[in-house]
Amino acid sequence: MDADDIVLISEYTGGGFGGKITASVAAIIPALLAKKAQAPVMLRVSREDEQAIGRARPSLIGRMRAGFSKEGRLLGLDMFVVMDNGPYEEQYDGGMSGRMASLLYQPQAMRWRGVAVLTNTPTRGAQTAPGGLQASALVGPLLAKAARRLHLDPLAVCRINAPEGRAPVGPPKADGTLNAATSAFVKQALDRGAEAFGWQSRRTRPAVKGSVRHGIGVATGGFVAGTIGFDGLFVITPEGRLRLHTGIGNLGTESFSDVQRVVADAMDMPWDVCEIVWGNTGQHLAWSCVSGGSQTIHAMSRAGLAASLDARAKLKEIAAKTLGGKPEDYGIGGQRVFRHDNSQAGMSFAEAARRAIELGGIYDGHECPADVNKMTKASVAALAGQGLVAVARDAFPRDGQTFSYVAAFAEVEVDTETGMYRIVHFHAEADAGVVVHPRAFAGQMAGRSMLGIGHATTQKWLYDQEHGTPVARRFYQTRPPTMLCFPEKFTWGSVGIPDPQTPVGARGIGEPPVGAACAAVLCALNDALGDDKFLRAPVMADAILAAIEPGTWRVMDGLSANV
Amino acid sequence: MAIIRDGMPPFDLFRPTSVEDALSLANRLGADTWILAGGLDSLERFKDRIKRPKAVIDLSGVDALRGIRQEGEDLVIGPMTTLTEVHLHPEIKARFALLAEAAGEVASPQIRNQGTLGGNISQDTRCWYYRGGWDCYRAGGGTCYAGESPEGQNREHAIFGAEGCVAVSPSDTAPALVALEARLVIKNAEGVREVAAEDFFVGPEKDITRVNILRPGELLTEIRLPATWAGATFYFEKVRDRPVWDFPLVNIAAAMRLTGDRIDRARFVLGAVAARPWRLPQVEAAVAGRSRNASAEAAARLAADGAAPLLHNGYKVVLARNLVKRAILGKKES
Repeated sequence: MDADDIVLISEYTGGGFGGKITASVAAIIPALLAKKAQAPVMLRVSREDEQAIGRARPSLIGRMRAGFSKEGRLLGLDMFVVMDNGPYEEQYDGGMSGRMASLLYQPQAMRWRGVAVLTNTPTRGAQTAPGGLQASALVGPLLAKAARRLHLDPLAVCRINAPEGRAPVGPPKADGTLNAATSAFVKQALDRGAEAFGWQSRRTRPAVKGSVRHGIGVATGGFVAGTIGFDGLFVITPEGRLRLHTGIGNLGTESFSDVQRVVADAMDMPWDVCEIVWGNTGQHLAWSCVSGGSQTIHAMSRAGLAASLDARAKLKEIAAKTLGGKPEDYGIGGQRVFRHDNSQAGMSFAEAARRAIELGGIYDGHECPADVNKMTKASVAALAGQGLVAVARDAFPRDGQTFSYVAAFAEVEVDTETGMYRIVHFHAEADAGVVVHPRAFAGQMAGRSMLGIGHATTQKWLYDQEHGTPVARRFYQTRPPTMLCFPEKFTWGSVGIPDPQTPVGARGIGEPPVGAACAAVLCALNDALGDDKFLRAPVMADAILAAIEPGTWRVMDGLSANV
Repeated sequence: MAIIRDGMPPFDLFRPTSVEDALSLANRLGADTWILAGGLDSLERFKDRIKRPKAVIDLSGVDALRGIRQEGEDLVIGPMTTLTEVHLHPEIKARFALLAEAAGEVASPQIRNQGTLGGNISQDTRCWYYRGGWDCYRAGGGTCYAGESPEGQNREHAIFGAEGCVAVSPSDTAPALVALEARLVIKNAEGVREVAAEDFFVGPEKDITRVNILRPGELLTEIRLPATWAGATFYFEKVRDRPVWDFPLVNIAAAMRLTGDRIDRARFVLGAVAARPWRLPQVEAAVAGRSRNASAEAAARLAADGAAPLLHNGYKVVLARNLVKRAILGKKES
């Protein structure tokens, strides 16, 4: 088919996040059938189908060897992982776990090795923080163990190994140099988080009270938090409204909307005169980032700002052409463009939009920048003549790779007679740059922390290895966490330091809470019960009892868990 | 032809408004008829097409099966009474707190609002092989995949009474009813019979294909709590992986008559360790006439007598002992 004849409609994508970034084979089926049937085709996926095509996180089993200085600095890390790849295409969690470990713990020397094993299990795909979660779950408890061996505060060991500034990441490039993060303020996150959590006072609590053992844990998590180079597009209509055309999908996180606050702020426009057009390429949308993987706030705040700067420049040029003077004589605010030396002399946005239509060319979209994506060009052509058309590609500089981080703190109380435990307090402190929308940010922190807590506590698949099939298929068997599994006290914070390599200063927050939360809970359990009691997550009641009761033999069979 | 499992196969739905109509329908429609209470056990299996009844008799319209009333010495609970109603009922809380607590520990608030007491005790086992459609002994096949296969996944299975099948009773309220010496009234077209709760449940040694004595054409119509244990000292605890929406790994229901700290008489019942609620007569005998503190350790050691753990569920032996000790001492955390 001619690409121009294709309209994509994806309004409410729902959860699934990274798993929906790339089209899966199954997603193509309705398109093929629709072509044959010459009629709309909907793909309905049952729980049974979900087991076959839904794609789960590849699991890693790892062996870590590490050397520390007496101050707790990680001098060398030897990391070997075996990845349950599932069937079919190659997964990248294994390699990414090494990359993220190199960033999160800044080892002075590091070797990473990995093996991917194809297994006859349900299909696998990227889930939140692919590889990042596993890195934290594998290495986080290792740091806590080192702290205990060295009689150091685990928080101090986390801190001394935390990335800082333009921290190096990953293996050397061909020229021997290292890639670097755009920024990292993890030490600040650890400091603020420790204060909010009350780390020092909690350390002094009695470790044992009757059958209950108390433990606290701290861990860091991180992951890729933004891409660059996408397009911003909006129209200032002759009615003076601001209509944003965005290709961002709605995963339920509402980021398709939240990120547009940047445009409203940059244009000094009240939010209630902004309208968002999205979810249907037939409505002429801009080329946007994929809706997942913590891309949106970073990529599209940049793109939105680029379009805003274009609009501001055009408004000033229109005013100068209409009212005289030079564009730099004009300022923007209160839905008007006005002279700096006489604020009464100016035009409303509505008037400027009508004037843009009269001027045509670049002002109303009849001419389009050459560097924007062809999809954006097509949209601009369709919108031409509707008002002042603001369009630009994000060409802001960035030196480095963008990551976000979370420092997580957990306190658990473990009943050693039942194996049940409670997370009595959990705190997550983000280093994700400027927080654009605090409530949405909080939702991400809570939801993704719960995902990590689920991996630490209950969420698991079980396979009958003789027959090669999963036996735990329903949610009451695989046990993802529910709303009522929330820690008894959950708090969050953000250091809020702008990333210096992106103009708005915001980075994504969706990924890093997962690994940090998972590792913090595992570290807290180790603190309560001792090192090397668990070699597998999730840690469930049977594992707790097996750790405590020497006569309770627990089989540690092969690749059967998600983490 | 692909197996379609996301929709229920068609069936005839009947919604009687009286017990008599329900019985008449059940008798007329025969063995392919399914009695539906809250639906939480049934609908999953309909959707999975593991059960394909030709007709379903929905009891939700039978008012006579709902509610809680005093009748002579007995407190009578309609089996269609929801678990939330049982949990919150003032008379049950005051006199039979064991049952109120057990009902409040079932699954999640939403499920307790929909699930019924009768359904909770009558539900089938949740063995993942059996529920997944494997042709095991319980399903009429020729093996037990959880218990007999060397690779069987059996962390949630039985440590007691596993004869051929290692599936367990998943109910939280059933152990409580056995501990309280509840009596269950069953009606069919021919008449009425009343059985002790303990005798309502069936282990694989009696019938490997069933978990209770209800036959096609029969209805559970009343759950009667005698005054025997009213106001006694109770203990219920459920160990599970998730704080909510989880079946028990092991639960315990205990009722004790005390004089001071001395246990005059007691009943201890474990759940999720066998295909039926598992009474512990050896523990009951060991504590009778002794103080709680003096008897706890020794009685706890007896709790797992006869246990035969499988490859992955040895922890249930520890749990059985620890829960009995906690029940005797009456504290969930020290």
